[in-house]
Amino acid sequence: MLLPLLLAAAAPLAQSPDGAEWALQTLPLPEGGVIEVSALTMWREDVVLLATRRGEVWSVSGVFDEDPMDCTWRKLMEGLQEPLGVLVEDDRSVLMVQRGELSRLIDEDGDGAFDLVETVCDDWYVGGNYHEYNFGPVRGGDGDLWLTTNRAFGGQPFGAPKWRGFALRIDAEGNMHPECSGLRSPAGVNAAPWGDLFYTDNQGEWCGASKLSHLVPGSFHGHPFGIESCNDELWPYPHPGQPPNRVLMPKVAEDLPHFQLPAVWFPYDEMGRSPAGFVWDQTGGRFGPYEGQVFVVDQFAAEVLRVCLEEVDGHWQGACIPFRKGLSCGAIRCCWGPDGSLLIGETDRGWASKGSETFGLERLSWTGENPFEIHTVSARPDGFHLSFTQELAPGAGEDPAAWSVESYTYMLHSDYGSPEVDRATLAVTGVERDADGKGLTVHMDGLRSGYVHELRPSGIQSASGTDLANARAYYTLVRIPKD
Amino acid sequence: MTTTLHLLLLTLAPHAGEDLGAAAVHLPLGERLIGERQCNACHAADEAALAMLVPKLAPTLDGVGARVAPGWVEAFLLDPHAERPGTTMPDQLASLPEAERGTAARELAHFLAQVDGPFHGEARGTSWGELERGRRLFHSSGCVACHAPQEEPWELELSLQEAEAQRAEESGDEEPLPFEGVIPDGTLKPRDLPLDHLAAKTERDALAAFLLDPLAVRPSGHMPNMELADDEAQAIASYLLRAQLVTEPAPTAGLRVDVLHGGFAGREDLNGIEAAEQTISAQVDLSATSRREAVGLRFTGSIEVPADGDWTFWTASDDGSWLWIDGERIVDNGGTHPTREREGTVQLTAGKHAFEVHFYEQGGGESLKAEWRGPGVERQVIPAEVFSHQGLGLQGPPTMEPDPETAQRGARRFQALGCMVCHRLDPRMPLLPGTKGNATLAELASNAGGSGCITPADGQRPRWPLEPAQLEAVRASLATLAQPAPELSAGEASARHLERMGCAYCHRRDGAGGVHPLNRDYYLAAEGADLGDEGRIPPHLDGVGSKLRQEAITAALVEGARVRPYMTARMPQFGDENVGWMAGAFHEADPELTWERTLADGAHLMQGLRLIGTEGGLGCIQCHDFAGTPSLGIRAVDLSTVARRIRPGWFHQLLKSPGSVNMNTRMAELWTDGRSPVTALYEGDPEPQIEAIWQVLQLGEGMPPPPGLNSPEAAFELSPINEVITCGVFWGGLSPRTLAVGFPELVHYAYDMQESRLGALWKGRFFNARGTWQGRAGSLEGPAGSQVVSLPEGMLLARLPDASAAWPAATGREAGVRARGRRQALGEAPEFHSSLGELDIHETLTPIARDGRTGFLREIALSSKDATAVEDVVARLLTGEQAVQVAEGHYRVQQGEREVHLVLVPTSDARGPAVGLEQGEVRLPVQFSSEPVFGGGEVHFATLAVEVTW
Repeated sequence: MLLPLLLAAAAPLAQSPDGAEWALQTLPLPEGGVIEVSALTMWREDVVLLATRRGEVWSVSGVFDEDPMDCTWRKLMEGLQEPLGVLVEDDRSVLMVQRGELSRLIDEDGDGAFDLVETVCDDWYVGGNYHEYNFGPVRGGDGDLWLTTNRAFGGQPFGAPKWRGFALRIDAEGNMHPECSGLRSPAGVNAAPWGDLFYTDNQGEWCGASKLSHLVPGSFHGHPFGIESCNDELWPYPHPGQPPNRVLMPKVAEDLPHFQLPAVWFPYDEMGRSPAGFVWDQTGGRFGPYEGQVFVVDQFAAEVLRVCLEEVDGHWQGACIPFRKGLSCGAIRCCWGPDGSLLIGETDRGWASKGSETFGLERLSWTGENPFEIHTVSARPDGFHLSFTQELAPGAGEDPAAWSVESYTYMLHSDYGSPEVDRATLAVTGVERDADGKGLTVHMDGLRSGYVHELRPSGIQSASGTDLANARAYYTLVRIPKD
Repeated sequence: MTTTLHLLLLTLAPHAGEDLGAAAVHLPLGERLIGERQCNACHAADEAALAMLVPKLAPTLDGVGARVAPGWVEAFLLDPHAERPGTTMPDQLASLPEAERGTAARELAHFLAQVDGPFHGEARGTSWGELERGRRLFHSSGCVACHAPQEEPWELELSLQEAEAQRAEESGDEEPLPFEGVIPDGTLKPRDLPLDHLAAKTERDALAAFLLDPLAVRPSGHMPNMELADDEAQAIASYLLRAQLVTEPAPTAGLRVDVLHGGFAGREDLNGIEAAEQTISAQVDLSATSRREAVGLRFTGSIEVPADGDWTFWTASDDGSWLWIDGERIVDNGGTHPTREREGTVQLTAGKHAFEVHFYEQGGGESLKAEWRGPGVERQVIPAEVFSHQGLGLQGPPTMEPDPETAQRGARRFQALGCMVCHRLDPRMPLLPGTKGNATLAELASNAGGSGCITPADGQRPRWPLEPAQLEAVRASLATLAQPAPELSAGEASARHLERMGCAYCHRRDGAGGVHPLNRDYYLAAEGADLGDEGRIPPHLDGVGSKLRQEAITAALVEGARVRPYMTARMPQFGDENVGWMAGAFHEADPELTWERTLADGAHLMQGLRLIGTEGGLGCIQCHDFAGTPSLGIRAVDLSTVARRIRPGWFHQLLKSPGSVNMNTRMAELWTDGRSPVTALYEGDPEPQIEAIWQVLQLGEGMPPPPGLNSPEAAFELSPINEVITCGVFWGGLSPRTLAVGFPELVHYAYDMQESRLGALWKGRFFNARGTWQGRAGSLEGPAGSQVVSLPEGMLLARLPDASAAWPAATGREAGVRARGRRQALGEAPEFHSSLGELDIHETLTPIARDGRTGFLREIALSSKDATAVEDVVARLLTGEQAVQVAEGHYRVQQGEREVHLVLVPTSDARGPAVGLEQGEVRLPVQFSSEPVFGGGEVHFATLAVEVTW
């Protein structure tokens, strides 16, 4: 299905579905190809370079031409083992991680296809379990390459190797340095514009809710599967210790020194189920009004989520907000096109996902129409400040009764996922409108550190009379600002 | 159970007085009669005569007490030939005074009753559905070749009860119609070994046990093993004993339900499973049990159909269900699945029909519903009022508590009467010699006019009554046997044996035998097998030794191989000792057909594969099954079995001219005016095309799917039809970091990236990536093809001052081996790069064909700037159970049955010949050269090139 790129002249926005300001385009696939996109990047300016679960590498040219339906697919290589990430080095060279190694693919003769696969690092082993995925690489602010490794689920016919459930740093000499432990299913990893590393994790045992977390060297993220490896001499940090079972997350954070709470929890089913790839909006406004924010694709829900982050007292935290539903398939990878559109690589990889397809490549482009949505959420000592993408109608949201605020947290435990626990309703005590009319400070009693604060305003309209789209935000409050 | 049903035990009216075929063609009737009666047990015969007679052994009597009703034993012994006409048992009591015979028979019966007795006296449960199944099996599996059909073919179209009703209406006085068909010369007169004594002789379970392993009782194999499943044997036994049917007084409403416990996934029905509970259910639903996991339900009873016409039945179930009407499966909704609907339609007459539904629930949700629609009935759940059931049982003949004293006397009589000359009471007991004091078989010839057991003195009963013609035949044969026995050719010996064992009642060879026209309509083809007579009538055996490999004949004769699944008739199993020798005899009798071949062996596999396929090929898979995948049309013999069964010359003849091999085949001639329709290969010349097909068929099950094959596997099948395919996988026995590389030449290899070593080579099918690509995957893969050559574990190279010293145990990273990567253009072969310390290693493999073998040219290039790294380098190329040098630089390594040849290309840098042969290894000390490099220093290098073929 092809949607027109520009919907500017479409129906009045108040009646448009949430996210309609972004047009979704499903790109044609090569005939007979099984394009379960597992790695996705731009290469040589306007060439889409992707890898598939089946180990093929493809280029797609012409995606950004006038008629992307005429784009050209070219198979560049095959025989990689479940590559799940790609990083461009230059026009002749890209890095990809396979199950057993970090590899450099080189186009020696410059014909656009790769002729050489160099082993960059294979300091880890594989136990032969389907879930021993590796994600990355991304280049950190330190210049080194970072990977995340998935824990195994079930049989490991070749033994139980070390370093499953870790963030690994690979230095310029190709040596591996484990940096963070306790990861579960870290399907996305990326470096922030300021160089810090973040990753997404999927809800399950020892991971009460899906999350976006900051990869602080030495940090422990809650899953004990691989922490035996922390006794190895390669682990330069203190052993994180065995996490307690059936304890509230904030309590674990108090008791276990290296345990790291996330930047953002994604409440289950409200905000997808399986967050994977994510990117920071650095399009300079070509993708819309969310410059500097994070877009996350979800493998189950076939949707794109939005996250805004801030650093409070040395901890990165923030809110997640719905962005755009209705992809054709669950997605695990995304990257920016040269025109500021978001390319989305899709596969359900044997799990059921929403959407009509089991794999595909789609593109989300901003129509140029300004939505009316929550722009940012940031914490205050006694509440939150919300900015909006458009000026609010006079008095909009200023009545405390217009706000429903609840907080809850999760258990750290060996069960699969955690219910939202220790739930409380917060009383909004007052609301102040920003001078420019585009923001509100919401004062309330009872903020709790280590809790998701779910903010649901109602009845808010813009100055031009549009209803607020996606009127909910989930702020993971780990640190309460002091002033 | 009180009422005995009046089911007529019908023996079809014989076509009396007509000449319905030959009594014998190759096997003299007298020899047959003498052999079957085992006359040699009393009248000594020399080896040559025994070889001519192949005497039939008497039944083993262990278990007889449980198998045969004591009352019948008594009656039979009293007058065997009256009780069972044609029996080969002698009337042993004939030697006793008439007044004593009754006592003797009774005493013997008491004695035999306690041999593994008692005989089971209670009724056995059955159902109309089971009787219907048995009835169909009896008539279609081939039993009627030796036992007369019990019903007419048209009667089998009706249900058993309907057929009985029709028969009862007819008075039975009608004259049988004369047979008006043509009986081919040499067809044997239909055999009619009677079964009507069974109801008086035995009971259902005992008969079923006998049917499952008849050779245990009758070791000579004249009653062969029909390879029945337990429930099939029970069904046939129930049908044959239907004269024993007893029933509850009147039908009652509802269906009988057997509740079965356990997991039943993967089954085609729930027959033969013991019921944990029994109950009655008004309708087909789940009310019969409260069990909701690991449960099976068997509904049996009758359904009252209100009107003639087409009736459609549905089942909707979670998990599997099946529905039968009159023993015929109408709905197949088997398998483990969420609620799913399946339907089937059948033409039915108004009235009662046997009804049966099986259902099982494995786990999770469950549901069951049965619906119908027919004339005047809208689609609806089948209502309770049409169901009924009547408890059915088979009441065998009475049992008896043997009296110990009477039995004791019977035991003495058993000895005195010489029973143990022919019968064993225990398989370990030797038979007693019986020839002492009797005339030899040769001497009997001169006693032609005298008295004896077949020609008694006046007033005495013959032990074996014979028809005058039979008597004449026996006399003639005795005369022949008195002469020195002629040396029978293999052809003549097998021709006689085909008649002796009854093979000739199905198979024709050398102008004798074949299915009798009267019986042809009982031989059926499975539904959908549109193969005409070829799909239902057992094949003729003319030239079978030219056609089939000896192993294939053996497989059919004694290993139960079935290559024609579409035929309802089964190849009976007569036992290796009884018929195993015939495979060799056929080969001796029938010459191998010659075939001058011109193509290099094994080098034309992909061409053959293309010819088999439908995309620009001859399209063999349109009619032939392929490695279990059904053909696109009719279901002719599976191509993957052809090379295993067929001899090359015959195959060539068949393809060249299907008509010329007299196979009664529907296979079409592929060529037009001597040219192939496929002109893209071998310029349309049929001869090399036939050869290429033959080459690829040699791969058997290891053949890759040919182009155009449509199977569920095909979506994941990796077939390097046009170019090299490379796939990274978890590989069983190597590592989870293995690269499988497949070539269009159909030789492939697996390279272990973890240890940087070649791991395995194989041929044929490359591999199927379903386990790596479907669902969450993660399976360990392995070669899909055959002829796997394994490479030695551990390092390819080691530094060993003594080249024969123990190979280092360390591997991979631990041994200093590092993966460096690979060079590979898409669709081409990779070059692997690794290192051992400071030594750089590059390796490539290229398919080759050499001396009728195929394999790889393996090239290994070594280099280092470090002189110490190249000292004492030895390459270990191949290991096996045995390694020998065949010629200079040519080694042969034995891996199991496989011989692998390793030929060193002369340009290789070796320090002398291979070492380690005595340990089954081929190790090559490497000779390095050096040259200076720009910027200072030297580079040391060496190359090895070996051809590995097998």
